[in-house]
Amino acid sequence: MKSLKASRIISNTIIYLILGIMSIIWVLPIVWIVLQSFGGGGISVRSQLIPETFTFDNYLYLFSNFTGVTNPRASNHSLDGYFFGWFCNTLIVAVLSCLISTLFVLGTAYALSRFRFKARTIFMKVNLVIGMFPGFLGMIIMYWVMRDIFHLQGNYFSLVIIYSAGAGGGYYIAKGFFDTISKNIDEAAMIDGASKSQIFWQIILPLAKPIIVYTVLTSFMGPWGDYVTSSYIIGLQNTSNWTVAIGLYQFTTGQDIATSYYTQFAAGAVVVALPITILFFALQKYYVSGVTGGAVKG
Amino acid sequence: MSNNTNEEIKNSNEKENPQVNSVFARKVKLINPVVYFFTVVLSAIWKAIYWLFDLVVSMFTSIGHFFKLFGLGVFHGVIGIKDFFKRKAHQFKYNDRSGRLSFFLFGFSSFSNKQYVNGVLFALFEVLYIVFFALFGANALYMLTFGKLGLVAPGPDPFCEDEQFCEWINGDNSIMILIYGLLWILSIFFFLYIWNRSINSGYNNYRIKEFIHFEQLYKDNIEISKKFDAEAKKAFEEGISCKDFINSKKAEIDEYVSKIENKKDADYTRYLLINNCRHSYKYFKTVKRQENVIAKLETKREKVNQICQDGLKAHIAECDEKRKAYTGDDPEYFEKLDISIEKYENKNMGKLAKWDNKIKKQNHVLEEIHKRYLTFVEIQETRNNDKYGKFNDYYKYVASLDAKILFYSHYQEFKDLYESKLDKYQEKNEENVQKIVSLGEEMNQKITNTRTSFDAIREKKKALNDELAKVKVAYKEEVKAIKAANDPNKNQLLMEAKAKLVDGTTAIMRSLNDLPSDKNIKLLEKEEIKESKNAYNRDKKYLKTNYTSEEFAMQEVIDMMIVEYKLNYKDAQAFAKKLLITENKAQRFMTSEEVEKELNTLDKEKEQYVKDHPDKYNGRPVSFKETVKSLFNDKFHITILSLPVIGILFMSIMPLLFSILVAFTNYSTGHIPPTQLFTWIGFDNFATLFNPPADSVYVVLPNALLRTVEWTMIWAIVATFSNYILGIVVALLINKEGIRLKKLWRTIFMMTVAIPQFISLLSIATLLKDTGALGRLFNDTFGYRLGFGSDGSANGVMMAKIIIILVNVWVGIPYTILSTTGILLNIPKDLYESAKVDGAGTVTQFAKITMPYILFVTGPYLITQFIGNINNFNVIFFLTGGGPSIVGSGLLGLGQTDLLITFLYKIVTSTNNPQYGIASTIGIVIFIICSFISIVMYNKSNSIKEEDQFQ
Repeated sequence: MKSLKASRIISNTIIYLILGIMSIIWVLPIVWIVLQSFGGGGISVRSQLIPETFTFDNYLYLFSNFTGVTNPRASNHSLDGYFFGWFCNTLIVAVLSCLISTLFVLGTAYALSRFRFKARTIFMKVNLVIGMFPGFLGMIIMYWVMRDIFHLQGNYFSLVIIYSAGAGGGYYIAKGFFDTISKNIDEAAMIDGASKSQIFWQIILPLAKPIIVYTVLTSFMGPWGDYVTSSYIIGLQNTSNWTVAIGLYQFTTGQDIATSYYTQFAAGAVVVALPITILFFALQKYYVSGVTGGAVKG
Repeated sequence: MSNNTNEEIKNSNEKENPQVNSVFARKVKLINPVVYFFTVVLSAIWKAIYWLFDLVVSMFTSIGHFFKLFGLGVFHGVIGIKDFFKRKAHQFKYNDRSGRLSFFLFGFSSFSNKQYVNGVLFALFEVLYIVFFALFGANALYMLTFGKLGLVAPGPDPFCEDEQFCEWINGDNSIMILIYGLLWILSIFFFLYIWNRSINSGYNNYRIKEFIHFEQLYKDNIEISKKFDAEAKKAFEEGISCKDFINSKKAEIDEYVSKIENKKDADYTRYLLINNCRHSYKYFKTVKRQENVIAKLETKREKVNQICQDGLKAHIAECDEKRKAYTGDDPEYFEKLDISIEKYENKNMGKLAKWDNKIKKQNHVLEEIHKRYLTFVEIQETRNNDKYGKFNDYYKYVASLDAKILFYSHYQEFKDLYESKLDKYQEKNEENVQKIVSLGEEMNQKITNTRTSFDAIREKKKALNDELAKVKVAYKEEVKAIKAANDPNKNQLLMEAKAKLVDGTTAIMRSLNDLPSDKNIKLLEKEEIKESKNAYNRDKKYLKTNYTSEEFAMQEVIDMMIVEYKLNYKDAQAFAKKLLITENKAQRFMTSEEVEKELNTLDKEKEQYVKDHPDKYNGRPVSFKETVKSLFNDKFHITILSLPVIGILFMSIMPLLFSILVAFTNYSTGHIPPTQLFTWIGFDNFATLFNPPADSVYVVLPNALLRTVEWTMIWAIVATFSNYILGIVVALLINKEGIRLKKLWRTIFMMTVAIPQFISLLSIATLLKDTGALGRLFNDTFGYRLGFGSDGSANGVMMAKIIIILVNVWVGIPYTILSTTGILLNIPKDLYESAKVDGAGTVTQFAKITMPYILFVTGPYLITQFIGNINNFNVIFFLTGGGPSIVGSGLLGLGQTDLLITFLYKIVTSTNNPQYGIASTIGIVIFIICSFISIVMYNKSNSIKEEDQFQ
């Protein structure tokens, strides 16, 4: 009995040790970024784990159009005073496309879960096939469509269209959730004289709160952190229309910029990541239920 | 060999039933460790070989499957098109004039049936489409095909001589030509769809109006159809072919039809009867085929049975001989022989059960065929009834008149009731107050009951725990006593005591496990209390306590109408409003003369209506208002799907078709619109990728591409499985009993999910650069630079790849933890309990219980993960950007760690040498790889098949 207890203590200690080390590995880069965002002084900051001097200037620089703080290390000041605009652009794009795509996803999922019509299986199969194509390929045409048909080139509203228009295809998880809501509820409502649209808005949606939150969260986080599409559609010339992803990427890799703007990049990263992280942890419960459901349903 | 087959059976058992694992785990304990080790290793090797073999086989079958699916698709497509035109021809032939005209003039039938809005929409669409097609569409299609994607490039006029005063020509834009061409092709399909709608609406209107006529036609022909049916059976049994049979019956049908006077009816009857013959003949053919299938299965089953029986006999004989020859003194030996015979029998039963199952399934199919059988005429009759019968307004209208008549004929009664109830409202109010109070008491009672029942469970749990503690204490004391006694067979006694402990605790543990956990008890209790509160609130809502006098009287009248006269709620409410009429701003009852007058008019109306419709039918095509209404009710899916489908069509499908088309053009450097043109070049891009001409810059491309595909596959496999397995391990560690701060650990790992990937990856990349903190650290400790993403030597590339995979683990593990935690908690605990009792170690439990269970549930998830990793853009792009680059360009900037998808991105976004044609070709290659892998995996995955059945 004693040996059993001892072995349990040993194994638990090992597990705590492993989890502890892993936690450190997981948190360390994030801690580094936060520390760097307060880092001051010369170029050598980048190769130090803990900066020698601490300053708040990096954050003030991000809002330099209000604060007037500039980067003393840099020779190239072409990106000064833009960050606040990028942040607003990203917020507008993310909120709009989140609203539209949530509506699309929930509607599609409801229709596919509750109705049986001729084109249903064809639609589902075609959607599966589309998923096999690398989505980026479509951007070539979207660039031209936005430029010559919608005349929205370099405008971040074109991003809203691109992010949300095809969103209905990602209905899988929501459909899996709707499938689990009993159809007896629908039938009971139908006997009471409710139409199908009333059932959707007044009965199913209030019951589907977890999946609504999940869909909102994922469709907000997508545009918020997207670089590939936004950089191609907006283009590198239209600096004021960039999203934060393009801007921060330029801070680390842009010509003449990458060497001197890494603390500013760190501050920007914190500013961008903080709201989404808080949102995520506040709604974590729903996110987990969505992912778990999706994993089981496929 | 026999070992192998046993292994195979065991494998298949494990897949079907995870509980077998515990039995296996029990066995493990009995075998000695060396033998155990070798069996495990051998079985692992055998499993790996078997799995590989299976994979190769399933790859080939998948290729077969793929082509089969493709062929079937083409076949069904052709048949579908043929059927479509056949149906249209039928609809044209058996239709009235307006229906026929709406083949050419959209919405003509709608106009003649007073559906003006529908008609206007149809006609407007047709006119506008034709005008626009003539103006733009024809030109767009011409430019797409024969115009070679543009004839004149923009620039100065080529025919002018003086360069300074040249006119600027706008020219063609190949991209726009391609886009508009594609849109016009799609619009043709849309036009066909609307055309079909117009025809269908015309035909439907005709059939709705002629419903009774067709009903009569079918009824007249049912008898003769049955006669032909019987003859078809006879003919089939005699071996006459379908064609001959129909030809032989034609004379008889003609004779029968010639008696019908109306030519149209005669034609339709002929159509019905000929199809009746064909349908019946086909039915008997299907039945025969099905019977053949069953007979074949049965003979096979007989054969298998014979083999099994022979084998069993041989085995019994063998065992008997062994029994006779045995001279040892193992008391269990004979038992073992008996068990082996029993096992053999069970195996036989299993084999036969498989065949029986197959036969049962086929028999079921046959039954279904029999059950569904009707003659062609009968089918048409039911279809007519289903599709067009519902438009009959006759009974609905008569019923509404009847209800009105009922109301006015009992007017006096309602009036009396109303007057008598006017002063009773306070009583009702008091009664309802009383009722609410009693409901509240009931609710309180329910809540206390719930609390006591859950307290009982808690107490039971506590008692069990106490008992467990007691058993443990008793064991400890026993051990102490044994140790103190210093018995010679102390070990034996200790073992016995331990066995006793295990016996005692397992029973208690099992009943403890059956009870819900403390957390769940709390939750359930809360839920039940909430439910009873909700029920109280719900019931309370219907008990009104503030009735006014008139309200109450009206309510009583409505109740009476519903209860005694069986009126529906809507009608009752409408009639109740008619009880009092308003005159000069004052309300009064109707006089008896007025009631009399109402009744008279209603009677007359009903009489007239019945007289006007002797066949009790009044079919009326749906009005536009009803159509719109149905868009929010039984056709709500059209409303709610229209926008998402349009979105998918224009933002997903169209770009995809476009990129497929671009793969056949030379859209690349030197051919970039808007200043230059590009054109169709057939399969040249594919040739450049796979077999470039020796003198071109792309000679090295096939090799480099092959290397990229290789790395993509390695990356996808390693990234998927490392994330998957490590994620499960970490999830297990966190969820292990006795580990505290579970929430904290989970939250920490969730960090990389919450933070946008481009931020976490970019900061890691900065850290790993030679100037970054980690890169500097590496340089200081090892004495040479890390060169992450820039060192092109074999060593550096290897290092970069390893780091990428490690970082991917950092980013990806949390997702696996998230998605498997719930599944881990759902694994039945008694599986582990029994395995633990049998002494299976942690590793065995993991390999034999946890992994199979999770794999079973998350199979589809794994496939999507794999596909996702093939297209995993973020990790590669933000970490290395594909670098270190391959020296000797002409490779479009292809780097050593580039995946196909990042390579594609580079080609497309390259500012000095974009090659859109080649990029699209690579996109098609990625598509083929992904779809092929998906088909192979889906074919192999059991859970997918089951989900299909589930659906």
